[in-house]
Amino acid sequence: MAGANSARVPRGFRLEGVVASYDTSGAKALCGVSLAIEPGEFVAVVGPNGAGKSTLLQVLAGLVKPSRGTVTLDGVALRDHRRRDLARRIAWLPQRLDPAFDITVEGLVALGRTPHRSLWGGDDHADRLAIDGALAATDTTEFRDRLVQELSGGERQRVALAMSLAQMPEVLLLDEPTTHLDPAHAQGLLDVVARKHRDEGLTVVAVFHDLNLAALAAGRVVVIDGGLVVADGPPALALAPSVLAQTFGPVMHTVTHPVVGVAQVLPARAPLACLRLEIS
Amino acid sequence: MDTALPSAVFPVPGIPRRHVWWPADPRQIYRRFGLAVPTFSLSVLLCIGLVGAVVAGVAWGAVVIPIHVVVGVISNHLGLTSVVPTWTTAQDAIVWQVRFPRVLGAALAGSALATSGALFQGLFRNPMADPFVLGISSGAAFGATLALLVGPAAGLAAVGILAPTAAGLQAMFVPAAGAVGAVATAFVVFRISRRGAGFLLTDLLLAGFAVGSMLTAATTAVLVLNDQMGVRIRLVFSWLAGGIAVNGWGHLAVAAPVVLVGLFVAYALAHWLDPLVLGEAGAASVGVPVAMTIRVTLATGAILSASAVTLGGLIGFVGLLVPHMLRRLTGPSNRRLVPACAFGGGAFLVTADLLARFVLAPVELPVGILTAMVGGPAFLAILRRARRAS
Repeated sequence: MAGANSARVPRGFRLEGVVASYDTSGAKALCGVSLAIEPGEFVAVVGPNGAGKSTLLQVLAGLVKPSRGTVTLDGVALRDHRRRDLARRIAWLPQRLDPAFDITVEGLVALGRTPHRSLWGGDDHADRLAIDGALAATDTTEFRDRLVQELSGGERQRVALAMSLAQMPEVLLLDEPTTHLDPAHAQGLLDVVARKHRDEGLTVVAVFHDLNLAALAAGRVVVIDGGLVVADGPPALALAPSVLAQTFGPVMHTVTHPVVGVAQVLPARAPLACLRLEIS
Repeated sequence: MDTALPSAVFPVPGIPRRHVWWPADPRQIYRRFGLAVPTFSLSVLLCIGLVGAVVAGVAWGAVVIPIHVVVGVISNHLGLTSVVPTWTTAQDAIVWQVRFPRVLGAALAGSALATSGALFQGLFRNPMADPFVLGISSGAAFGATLALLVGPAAGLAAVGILAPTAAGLQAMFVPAAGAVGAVATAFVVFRISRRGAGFLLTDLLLAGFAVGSMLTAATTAVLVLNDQMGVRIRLVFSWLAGGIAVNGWGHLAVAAPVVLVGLFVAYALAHWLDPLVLGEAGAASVGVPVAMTIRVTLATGAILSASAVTLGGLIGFVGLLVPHMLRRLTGPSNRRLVPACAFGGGAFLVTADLLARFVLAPVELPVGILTAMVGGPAFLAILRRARRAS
């Protein structure tokens, strides 16, 4: 009986014709997005600036309510989940975390435990284990007593990830996690996420600015343009030259990574290439 | 980061500091020296301090009453002991009928102000927020004063605020009107100063200043236009200047339960205020019901300030000073700060009230003048630091 039930109820996220605006101005950031995300997937979301990537992530987190269409998680509409229950299952990491007060790294990571605590109690043993584990996984234990405001961009991003991991979510939503990071730090951060995804079956939906990192990190790439999904599939398919020409303009060139063997995107020409030819 | 700023007043090796001489979270010090973070609660210490301040506040005055008499009278009346009195009935009356309610009133007002200051600071994400600075105390004073004028038994009104036992209905009506005024002001200031999902320091302070000034002017107008005030005007003025206006148990009957319930709600709210440092979306993503938290925090903070106003008029800067000092000891977490403020604020105001009675004895200075003398400069110092940090 239970087996029949779980077969009928779709697991993971289902989006049907979602229309949503980022703010109250009414400008549509998403204009009818339908998407299914299965548990344990690693999905990269890419697209030009202002395509609606961040809004899609906030819709998945339940932070932006769609004005039309439905979002369900495990067959239940997202708005019917309690805020606290959602926070126990879904962690959302904004582009940049800027705490308003001076706060220590440990204090910030402890905020990830909010949905697991009672209103009256303090940190219990499980909270402390989760905080220590998150600090260790992101290699930030040495910073635990430093102030978040004193850390470099890369360190701060790792600490922010630690907060999300302390939340012990099933789904991790990352909004351009590597934008302010140099390649080595970006790689390090994605390694942590990839390890959690591989070892613990964490579902990851990450918005990327860098198409190549997206293709390297995720098994599935969703391309969004003008609030619509224009391509969805493995990197080689989603980042095909025809798709890129349509979304980013005819300035991209798709190749295969010489070592890893996944699709990678190169600029089709050097800046001011004509000028350079003339000089030479 | 700005590590170039010199700051070696309190050198703790390994903790890089910016412009502050005390770490943001005192646990940093314990860890640095390899000490265990103490498990005793700061609130327990502050609670002991509060009890000590209350006993001292009751003992000292125009007639000094020995401490063992103070303790004896109070515990006898509370039914804790039944010691055969070794004191005179006059002493009994002074302690139980006059001073103890007044000192308890000061303790409740201090608790309420400090806790509402902590709530507003957490909500506005700003160390300058305070019920007086935000104009919320003025809103409460206006509501209460207006109730004096138009309220039931308006003739008894002036008596009502200062001796509410005179009219039971009045005793309920004036604080209730004060609470309505405070809550309305809190929501107005919140709406005005909100920018997108955040607040600008200048917007907040200017909105509080403008709204507070208007309400203070309106309060004065009500008092001037009300000729029934007569000789009471000096008492009302003293109340508005921040003098503890508790003359007996009747006055506490309304305010005390409200403050106690407010403190419990504040403690529960602290759990949701902490994640607000992440911004509203960030707080929602860790499970905070943001819209409800904002509303309940504004209402609780405003009702606590209004209770303090009915007990002691416009006592400024307690909600600024006490959370600011205690944050040095508790760190930024509201779950530690709010209970510490509840006890520390009470101890602070009882002590300040005691000083206010002594400074120009036999003339009693309204305690609000004392807190403004100390709080004003502290406000400017915190403002300077807040500007430098941003």
